[in-house]
Amino acid sequence: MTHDEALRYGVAGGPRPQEAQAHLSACPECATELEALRAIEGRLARSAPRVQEVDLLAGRILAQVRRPRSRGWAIPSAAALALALGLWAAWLSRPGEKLASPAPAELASAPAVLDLSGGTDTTADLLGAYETEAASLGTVPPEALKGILSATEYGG
Amino acid sequence: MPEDQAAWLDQLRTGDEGAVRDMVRAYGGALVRFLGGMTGNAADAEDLAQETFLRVVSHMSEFRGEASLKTYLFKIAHNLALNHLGSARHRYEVLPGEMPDRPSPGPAPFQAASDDEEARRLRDTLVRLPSQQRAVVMLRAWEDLSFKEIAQTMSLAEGTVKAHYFFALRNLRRMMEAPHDSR
Repeated sequence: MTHDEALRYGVAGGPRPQEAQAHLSACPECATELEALRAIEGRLARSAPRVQEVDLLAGRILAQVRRPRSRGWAIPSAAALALALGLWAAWLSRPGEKLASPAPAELASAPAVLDLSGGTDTTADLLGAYETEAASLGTVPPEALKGILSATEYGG
Repeated sequence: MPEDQAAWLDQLRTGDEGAVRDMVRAYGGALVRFLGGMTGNAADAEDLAQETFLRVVSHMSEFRGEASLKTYLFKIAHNLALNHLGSARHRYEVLPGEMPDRPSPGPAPFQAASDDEEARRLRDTLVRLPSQQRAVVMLRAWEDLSFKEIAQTMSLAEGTVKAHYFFALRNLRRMMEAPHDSR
C-alpha cells in the first residue's frame, strides 16, 4: 500500500482498512501528514460562511413562480383563438366558393379544412411553446438583483 | 424545515407557496454559500441559487424521493455551476490530485468585515482549488453531506469523491503553508 492510499483511507475511509491502518501505524511520515490533514478538516468545518437574508431570495423566487402561472392560460388561449379565427376567415374569403356546393364526390375526397382529430396535438404544441417561454421567464433582469445583493451579507 | 417531510414534499409538488418559502429558508443560505464557492462570485451565486429553486419547483412532480431533497437541490445547483463555469471543460478539467494553475476569476464570494482572519484566508485558498476538489470539500465540510451523497450530487463514483477529498485537503495544506502572496 502506498503512502497516498493509506492517507486517503485515513481521511475518507476506503478499501483494505486493515492494511491501511497497519501502514499508518508503522509510518511516522504518514502519521504526521494525517494529523495535519485532520487539522485542515477541522479548520474547514469552522470556516463555513453564513448567508443571511434568504427571505429576500424567497420573495424573488415566489414572484417568479407566480408569474408564469398567472399567464398560464392566456398565451395558449389567445393563440388558439387567433388560429381558429384565421382559419375561419381564410375559409370564408375563398373566391367563388362561398355559395358553391361541392359535389358529393368532392366532399368525400377533399382534405378537411380543420381536422378536429388533430386538436389535441395543437393544444400540446401550444402548451409546449408556452412552457418554453415560461422557462425563459426564469431569468432575472439585472435591475431585480440589485436589491437582494445589497441586502445580502456573508458573515463568518 | 417542516417536521412532516412527506406532507411538505406533497405541498411542494402542488406548488404551495408556503412550502416553497420554507424550502428556500431551509436551503437558500447553503446553496448560495456553495454556489459562491463554485463560481467565485456572489452575484452569480444568488442568480444560480434562484435558478436552482425555480427548476426544482417546476420539476418537483418528477422528484421520486430516492435521494434527499437536499441532495437533489445540490445536484441541480452543481450542474448549473458547471454550466456557468463552462460546461464539460470544467467537469473534466482535472484528475484527483492535480493542482490548480490559476485562481478562480471574479471577486471573492465571501466578504465580511468581522470575519475571522484564518477562516477568511482558508476560504480564499479554497476557491483556488480545481472545481471538483472545491465542490467535494464544500459539500463535505460545510454542508455535512456524506461521501455517498456527494457522489450522487456530482454523478461520480464514491471512490473518486474520496480521492478528490484527500487531494483537496493536501493541496489546501500546501497552499496554506506557502507564502501569503503566492496567489
